[in-house]
Amino acid sequence: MRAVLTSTQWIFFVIVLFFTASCADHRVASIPQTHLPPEIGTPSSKTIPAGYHHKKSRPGIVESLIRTARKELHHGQPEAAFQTLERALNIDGQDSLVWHLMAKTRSVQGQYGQAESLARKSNTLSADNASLRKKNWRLIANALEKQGRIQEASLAKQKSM
Amino acid sequence: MKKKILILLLMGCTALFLGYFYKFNTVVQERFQGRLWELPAQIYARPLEIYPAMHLVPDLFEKELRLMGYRRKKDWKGLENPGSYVRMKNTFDLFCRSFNFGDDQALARHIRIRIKNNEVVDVRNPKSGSAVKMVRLDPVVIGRFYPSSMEDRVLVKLDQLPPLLVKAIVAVEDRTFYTHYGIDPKSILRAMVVNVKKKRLSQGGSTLTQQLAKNFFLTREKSFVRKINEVFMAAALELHFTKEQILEAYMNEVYLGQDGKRAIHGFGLAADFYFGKSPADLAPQEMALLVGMLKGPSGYNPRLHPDRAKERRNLVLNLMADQNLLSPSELKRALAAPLNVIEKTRLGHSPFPYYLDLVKRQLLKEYNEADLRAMGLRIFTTLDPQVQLAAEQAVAGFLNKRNKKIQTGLVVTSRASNEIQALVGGRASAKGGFNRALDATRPIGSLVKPAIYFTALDRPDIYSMISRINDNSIKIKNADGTMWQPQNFDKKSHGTVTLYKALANSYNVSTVRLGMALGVDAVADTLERMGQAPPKPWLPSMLLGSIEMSPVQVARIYHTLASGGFYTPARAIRVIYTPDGERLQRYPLTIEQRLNPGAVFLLNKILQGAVLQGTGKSLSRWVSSNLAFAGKTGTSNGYRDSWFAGFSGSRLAVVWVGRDDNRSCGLTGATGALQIFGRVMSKISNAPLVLAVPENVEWGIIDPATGARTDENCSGAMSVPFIRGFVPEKYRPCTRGNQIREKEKTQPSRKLKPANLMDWLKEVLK
Repeated sequence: MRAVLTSTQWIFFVIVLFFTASCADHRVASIPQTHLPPEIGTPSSKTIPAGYHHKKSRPGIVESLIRTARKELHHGQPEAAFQTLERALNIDGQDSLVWHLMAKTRSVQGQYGQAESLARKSNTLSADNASLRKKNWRLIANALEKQGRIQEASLAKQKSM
Repeated sequence: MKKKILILLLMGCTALFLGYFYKFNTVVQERFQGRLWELPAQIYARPLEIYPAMHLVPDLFEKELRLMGYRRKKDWKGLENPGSYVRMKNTFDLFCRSFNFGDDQALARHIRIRIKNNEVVDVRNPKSGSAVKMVRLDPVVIGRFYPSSMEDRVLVKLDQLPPLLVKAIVAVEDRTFYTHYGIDPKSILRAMVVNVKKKRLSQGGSTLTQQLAKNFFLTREKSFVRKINEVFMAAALELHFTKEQILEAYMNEVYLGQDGKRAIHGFGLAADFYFGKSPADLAPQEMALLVGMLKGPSGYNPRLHPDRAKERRNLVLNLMADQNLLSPSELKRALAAPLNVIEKTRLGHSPFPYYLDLVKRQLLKEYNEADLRAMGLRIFTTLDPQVQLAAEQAVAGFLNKRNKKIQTGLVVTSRASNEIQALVGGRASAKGGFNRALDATRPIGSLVKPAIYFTALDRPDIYSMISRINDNSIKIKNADGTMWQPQNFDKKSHGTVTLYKALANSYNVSTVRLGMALGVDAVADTLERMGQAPPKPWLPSMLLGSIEMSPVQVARIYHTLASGGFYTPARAIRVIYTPDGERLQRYPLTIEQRLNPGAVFLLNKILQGAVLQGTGKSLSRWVSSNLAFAGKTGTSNGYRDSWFAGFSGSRLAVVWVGRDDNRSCGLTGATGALQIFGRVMSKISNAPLVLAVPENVEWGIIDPATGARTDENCSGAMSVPFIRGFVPEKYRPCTRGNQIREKEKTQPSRKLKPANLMDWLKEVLK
């Protein structure tokens, strides 16, 4: 019985070690791991993972500012929401959700040029978040449509599907 | 007959009287309709926001607290007033001041901040014990723009003033204030008796209303006519305004001291100037001191004449007690209290004149100077005092023992929003003067190269990071028929090199060849899209950076790279409020996609390589290579200009070093500007530069020897990013010698293939 317990502890220890090691890697490794173990897939150019997996968790304060901004947006205070999001950006400028919400805010305000640019910016940061990318494309499609760029808009719409 | 004359005379007098009164009445009405005072503009740094898990260096934090005018106390018992703090090792107890942020009014409150290993671990209210998500502190005042009169004041509303202060003023200056009609005949009579006795006009017997009228409309000379005018004015004031309005105007108007050229007016500013407090926080004896000073602000100046000031204060305190404004015990306590006047520290000249210069220039584009100096605007800037201090320290540290003629210009911005966080315009940071960060336009040398390489990478059908270009010498015919033969820094030719190697090592010849192949116009167009069009004519020498820019202009183009191709106008001002708290103007973040994000990504990868392995290598002396900075050095002909531009995950900075007389400073980009850049970055927090891979980028496994695709198991194989759809089609399997043995193949080893950027770059640059 005692031996079993020890081996469980061992497994746990190894898992923790493995987890820590993978975290450490994520800090600097901006180049995707090219030496994928064979079981993941054939390493032809097409299957090399394209995304940097930005798996770090969002700081609590950014989370809370995002909540505030959503509330402000909901209560019809888009400018206040934008200001709140700018504060969030000062803490983490690479958070694709913050940029997305900024785009949404500008869209609500009818500033479609900015809405489009901000959504495109969010897209450059959300390679690992397909659903957010779709939302951004929807914003872009709408912004383009409102600016009378119908053809571009329909292309964008396709990407949002 | 006599009676008629008398009546006529009387009517004449009445008409004259009415006419006279009418004249003053109009003056008073007009004055009160417009702006009562010229108010200086206040310029604030960004307010420091503190939250758990944020990076905060205790010493830098304390420096900022000092700049905010917070006073250090020995222990928490000393935290009696807002604007004070206690530091126990890395735990700070703050009694924060109340402050109107425009979008939020913060009240005076106690906060405890614990820092461990330069990270905030806890923020809480020490009284209730509850944790606080974020605390925003009142910002550092970085300057004021004064009206020509040099009158300074902080407007306060009557209800913001403690009632005791108001009562004390009435008790001392004008006891019958609430019952008279602007003039108090009894006290005038009394004054006249004194004047006749002394045979000169010394006593005024003025009511508060008269004093206000005198300050507002009349000269300071003491004459009979002026006295008459004063009476008329006072009557006009009383006719149109309530007692409360008159009192409020009086309390904001009065002169209460001098600070160099600056005249201290009103109780709002005086409370801050003498006690570092808002009026609401004044203790009775402090109120008494200020009220006592009304009689003669220079004679009773507590800093110059403490004894006289104390005597006068105690007289006022006794008077207050006589009027039952203080109980006997309160009086006793107040009389025993020391003066408690603070040292003059906070409100001198600006601590950051170069940055203030930047702000002023931006404001003058939209406001005229007279308004700026008189409207009492509250201007919130993006200056980060901690970054600014680090930058100034870095400049001093580097230039300290060097030739006095060597100068510098430096700007730091945030990567996400392009807010200007710090700006240094020369070595004399405290004095200001010629602002090189804005006005020294100098040849940018190799800093231009990324524009050329971007232009190439944006044509993925022809160029990729691993395309080979020729570095053998070239001669180019100038417009005037002369020949130009660019040379490499090491005077050598490197044969055929890849694009990334040529840029990371900043080879001149291959760059000129590449630029000529792309076309000088195409490069100029890229520069324009990056944010700064080069002046015409566009000559081939532009390819080696003969074009001139200021550090701020260079920062503009590099920011477009740092942001992944999105042009973002730099901002030094966030928002401007009127003194009434109304938002006058906000300068929100705006962005515009100018460059293909995929090509920018490839370029930034090379710029990271330039820091890790190329010309910017010596940055590792200052910052960890884990931060993966991207950057570029620049040196102009004859070592006249030394440049470095670079960015981390959170900040961008551009540094120029050189001489005003345009002589050689003897420094390259790496031995000069880069060293200052490194010093700055080592003192402030930076997020690692993790380049997000845009949608239009994909990776290919490439054999660097052939440039063809290969198997991932081949030794020496590396993954290279390409614009999607442009990974080389040519595929070559491993040659025999290259093949990894079967045994190793089943257990892929990290050593065989590049595990991270560092290995990858070592690989590609060898």
